[in-house]
Formats: sequence, C-alpha cells, structure tokens
Amino acid sequence: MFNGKNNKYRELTLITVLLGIIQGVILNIAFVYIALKIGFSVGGSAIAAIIGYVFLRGILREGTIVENNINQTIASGINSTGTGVAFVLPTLFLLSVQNQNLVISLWPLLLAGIGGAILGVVVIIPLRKQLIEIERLRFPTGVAVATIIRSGSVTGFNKAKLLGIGLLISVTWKLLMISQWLEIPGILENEELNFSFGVLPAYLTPAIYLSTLNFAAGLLSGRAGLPFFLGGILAWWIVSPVSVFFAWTPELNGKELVDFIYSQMLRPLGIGVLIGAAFMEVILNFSAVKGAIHSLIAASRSNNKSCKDELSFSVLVTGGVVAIFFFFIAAWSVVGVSIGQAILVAMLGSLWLGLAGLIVAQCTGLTDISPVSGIALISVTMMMFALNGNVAAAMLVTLAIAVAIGQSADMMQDLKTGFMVGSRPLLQQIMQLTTSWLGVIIACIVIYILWHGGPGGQGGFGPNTDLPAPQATVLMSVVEAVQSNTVPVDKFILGGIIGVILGTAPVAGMGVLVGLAMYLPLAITLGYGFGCLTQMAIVKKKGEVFAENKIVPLAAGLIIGEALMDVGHVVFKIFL
Amino acid sequence: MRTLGLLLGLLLFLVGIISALITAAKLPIINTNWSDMLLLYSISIFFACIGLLIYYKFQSLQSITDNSSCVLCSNIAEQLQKLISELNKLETEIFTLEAVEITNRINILLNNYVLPCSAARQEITELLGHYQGSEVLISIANGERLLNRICSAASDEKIQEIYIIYPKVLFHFEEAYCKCIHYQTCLLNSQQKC
Repeated sequence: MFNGKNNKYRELTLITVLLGIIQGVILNIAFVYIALKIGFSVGGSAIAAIIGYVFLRGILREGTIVENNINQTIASGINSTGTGVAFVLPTLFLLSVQNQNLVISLWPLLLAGIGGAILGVVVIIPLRKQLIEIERLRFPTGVAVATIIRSGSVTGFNKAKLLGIGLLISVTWKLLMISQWLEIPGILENEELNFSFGVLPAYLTPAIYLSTLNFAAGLLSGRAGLPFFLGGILAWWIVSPVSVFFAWTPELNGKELVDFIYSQMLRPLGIGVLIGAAFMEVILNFSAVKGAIHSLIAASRSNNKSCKDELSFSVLVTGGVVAIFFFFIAAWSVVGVSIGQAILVAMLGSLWLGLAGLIVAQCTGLTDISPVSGIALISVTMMMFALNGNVAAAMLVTLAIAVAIGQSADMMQDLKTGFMVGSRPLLQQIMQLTTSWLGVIIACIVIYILWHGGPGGQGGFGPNTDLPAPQATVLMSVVEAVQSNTVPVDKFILGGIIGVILGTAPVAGMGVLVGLAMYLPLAITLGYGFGCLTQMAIVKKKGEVFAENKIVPLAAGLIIGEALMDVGHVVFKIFL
Repeated sequence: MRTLGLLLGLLLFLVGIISALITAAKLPIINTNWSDMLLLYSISIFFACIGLLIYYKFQSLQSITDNSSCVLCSNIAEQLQKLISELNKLETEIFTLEAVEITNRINILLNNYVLPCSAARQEITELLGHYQGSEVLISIANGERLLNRICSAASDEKIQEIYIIYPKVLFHFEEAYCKCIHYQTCLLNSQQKC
C-alpha cells in the first residue's frame, strides 16, 4: 500500500521550466559549435532526460516522471531550433564573402527563425493523433527517452537493467569503432563493413553501417520499417545495376561511379518520391486530420478543463497567423523583395513548411532519420524561383523552414515520450511553443559572434578555419546549383509522381520510406533493415509482448549509448 | 478468383513501380529537360495505377461479400468489454496495492487487451473506414495514455492522481466500446440492405 505521499502530482513546475531552459541554452550553444566543427549535430533529448532525472529525482528528491518529460521537452525544443539555424545561417555568411552585395541583417533572420519555431509546432499538433495514436509511429528516440525517464522508478527496474545492458553494449562497440582497433583496410573501415568479397561491383554498394543506433531504430520499427529496407534494395540492387548495364552512367569506376549514381540519380529521385508520398498521405488522411481539427475546436468550446488535452484550435490559428506575419515582415525587409513577393513567399513558405514538417515527422517517426538537407534543397529551389534569384531572401525562408521542420520532428518525439509516460500533451505543447524560439536567438547570436571573431571581423568559420562548417559548404553548392540551373527538376517531378502512387499503396508509410531509402546510402538502410528483420524473427518466436517488454528497453539503451558516445567523442576531439 | 485478382493487381503495381523507378533514373538528354525514357516511364506509371485499381476493386469485393468487418468489430468490442470488466475489478482493489503490483496489473491489461487492438489498427481503418476506424483507435489510445499515467503516478507514489485519472480511463475505453458496437450495427444494417 502507498505510504502517504498523496500530494498533488507535479507536472509543470517553475523549477522544471528553469531547468529545461538552462539545459536547452547550454545544449544549444554546445551543439551549434559542434555543428560548425563537424557538420552534424546531436539530439539533446536523452541528455536532458538523464540530467533531469539526476537533478529532479536525485538532488531535489521530489521530481516526478511526467515532470522530467516537461523538462526534456523544453530542453530539446530550445536545442533543436539551434540545429536548424546552424544548418542555414553559416551559409549566408559564407556567401556574403563571395557576393559583396549580400547584406546580412540580424533582425529579419531572427524574425524568420522565430516564425519558423512557432509554425513548426502549430502545424504538427493537429497531426499528433494521426501519427502517434492512429499510425502509432515508433519515434525511436522518443521511446528511448521514455525508457530513461521511467528507468529509475520502483517498477522500472527490470527495464532499467535491459537499458543498462544495451547502453553497455553500445558504448563498448562505439569505443571499438572509434579506436579503430577492429579496422581492416578494404573490409572494415569508417564503421562500415564491406561485404563485396572482391567480387561484387562497387555500384551495388555492398557495405553495412555498423551503428548500434541504426540497428536499434530498426529493432523498434520491425515490420513497419520493412519498406525502408526494401526501398534501399530496390534503389541499389535493381535501379543502380540496370542503369550501369544500359550505360546510362558515364564511364566511371569505383567510388566515383557510386557517387554519380547517388548524387545525380537516386538521391534527387528519392527527394521527389518523399514529397509526392507525403502529399498523398495528407490527402488520404484528410478525413482523420479534419476529425482531429474538429475535436480541437470542440475541446476549445467545452468548458470542461479536463477535456482540454491539446492546444486549442484558436491558439494554433493565432500562432500560425503570427508566424506567417513574421515571415512576411522578414522577407519584405530584405533588399530587392517587393510586397507582392513577400506575401507570396510567406504563403508559399508556410504551405511548404507544413508538408515538410509532416515529411520530417514521418521519417523520424519511422526511422529516426531526418532528410533535412533534401528539404533545404527543395526550399532553396522554390524560394529562389519565387524571388527571382534573391539569395538573401531565399536563405531567410530556408532558415525558417529548417528551424520549423526540426521543431515538428522534436515536438512529435517529445509527444511520443509523453504518450508513453502519460503526460498531458497540452502542457508539453504550451512549453514547446513558448520556449523553443529562445533557441533561435541564442544560435543566431553564437554564430554571429563566431563569424565576427575571425580576422578583420569576419570569416570566423568556413573552409580552412578551425570551424570548417561542412553543412554550410553543402548548402552553398545547392545555391550554386540553383543559380546555374542544374537542379534535377525532372527527377523531382518523376519521383513525385511515383511517390503519389506509392502513397496510395495498401502499405502504410510505404512511399515515404521508399523515398527516404533512395535518399540515403545503402549502408544505413541495410543496418536498419537488419534490425527490422531481427525484431520480426523475435516477435515470431517469442511474441509481441516479449518484444515490447524486452526488446524496447534494450534498443533504447543501444540508442542512448551511441548518442552519448557521439557527444563524448566530439567533445574529446574538440577540446583534447 | 478473388485471390488471383488481388495477386494480379499487386504484381502489376510492383512491376509498374520498379519499371517507373528505373526509367526515371536516366538523366535527361543533353540540352533538354527530360530523358528519352519518358514514354516508357508513362506506360509503367499507367500499369502501376491499373494494378492498384485492380487490387482495391477485388479487396472491396471481398469486404462486401464476407462479413469480416462485422467479425473484426465484434472481436474488438469483445476485447474492450473484457478490458472494462478487468478495469472495474482493479478499481475495487487498486488503492490497496503496492506500486509494483499496480504497474504489473496494468501492464497485463495493456499487453492482453490494449496492444492486440492497436496491433489491428490497419485492419480497423481499412474495414471500418478511415474516419470511423480512427475514432475507435483514438479512444483506445486516450485510454492507453492514461493507463500509462497511472503507472507513472504509482511509481511516483501519488495516489491522488490515480483517484483522478481512473474514471477517465474507464470513460475512454467505454467510449471506444460504444463506438465499436455502433459501427457494427451500422455495418450489419448496410449489409442487410445489400
């Protein structure tokens, strides 16, 4: 029987909000720096959940499970907006060196970024029921965080043990990979196992990525992730050899041939499939989304506070209008943009942002992988077309979109965690909406300071500096491709049509998964697919309940172990 | 005949999609925007669409002629009825149980009754229709989230929260049960009219 702790259940408290904001700010600064240094960032949810657990339950001794969920929602929200800014803003600074006419003003960027942070949350909330309650997407990181949050409870001991075992395996494995002790030239290099055996041609890309995180994401998805695996096989073991057989590729060999097939054929086609499939899913699920919006409206009108589990429809509409207005003002304030173009960009950008948010939320929900660079490519192409090649304005909208899609994916991950620990979605949504914009300001300031810290007050990052900003270099090449009219529009359109048809197929999420598989290297898809097949075999032998109770915490440990090791490794490389 | 139709539809769809992907991969001819495979691509897309149409046609024929929708509704309703009765039993003793026991009992309910309903989500939305199926699934999911909250509250030893939440859990599962029975009745009526 309970021993008397019958006071109110703590969920949204001042101390949690402060802790979440402080953690979010620190993670944001650190991960923006990491993104400039190595070209990718790391999600902060797991770290925030662990620190929240130690602080709320260990030090304060009164924190609850749902309170920690609010803490990690705030922290990861602030952190993820920084990731979006770090992806786009450095490109603008680097472009300004090449193009002296490119004037960078911080205010429009901040407005666009804050607008993106708001819009990313408000567009995805009506889809919560569809993605989490109806389709029951896995959101591997969300599941992992839920397992951490619950692991210290009196009832979570067995799962905590499995989480610990997974974490230990993952950390040990990652250490072996980082130390390169197992490396064998030509067979095991850069965490990839090559199984060509000297026989299979390079254009089949016969390699598997030995990432425990990747494998664990597959373990969590099981049968639902199978189209992703099959999409990779289709792309690299059918489309690629046929293209080589019919001599559709130039006379290249080895890695150069693989790079050509990937960058010129499969990747752009995959982006098209992704967009077409997501568009079709919006149409097919329209009745369910309409139902969700109706229930939001009905809940808003109800006086019963307990019915209000989500942000009301009027708040979402107001947030959306404010964000679109921010876009408009930001775009209009850029030199060379007319009022008509600013209106067009604000409307078009918001519509595209809604679809892009859904694409990214679905991709992370199914595989934990987010196709941000593909979305940025489409965004830059569309916006430069709408703005007569105005780079500054196009990058401004791209920044808003990068922030927004990060927010959509993060909000869904956190809501999934909330679903598993029984949090009120309303409180999570309020906190994400009211705090995540802070991340935009912090990331912009950090990047601004770092840039002006260079010789002569500029060039603080970029090629040949301590902070090479690899992502910015990639995005610059995208801008150059749009300017030189070499964007593979035919692949986007043809892939889009295939995506629309795949979106109507009788397998849920098939189009998005096949598109994502074509967008990524096969090594990642194979590692994930191996996880899916392993889970299916376990379910067949031991049943669904065993998989839910034993495999989920183990997979969570594998995910967290690799994420923590990645962060540790980066910190080690930078500072030691 | 029906299975053959379904297989034929699926085969046409797959061949069409694979062929469309292969032909779409070819780069455009120099100084043009499109490749010379555009015609073959269009034919592939056409076959993929025909395949899908055949598949859905035979699938709808199957659902009209058999009573799988009603059987599914009845199975889900039966599961939910058992769950509600188990929840009623648990309500009488929950406040005398230790946190570990509460979580164990709730996990059993989730594993035995809620998970099987959620696992059948695709069938539910296919057979009941997207809107009706979603309504049932959302009610079940609401109940599941609140059961998870009870587990969390039990772990945190907050008995007052369990008092507040328990009636809501029952409400959501009863709502799902009523919706299932309602849709089953509608389906039976429409089949009798057929």
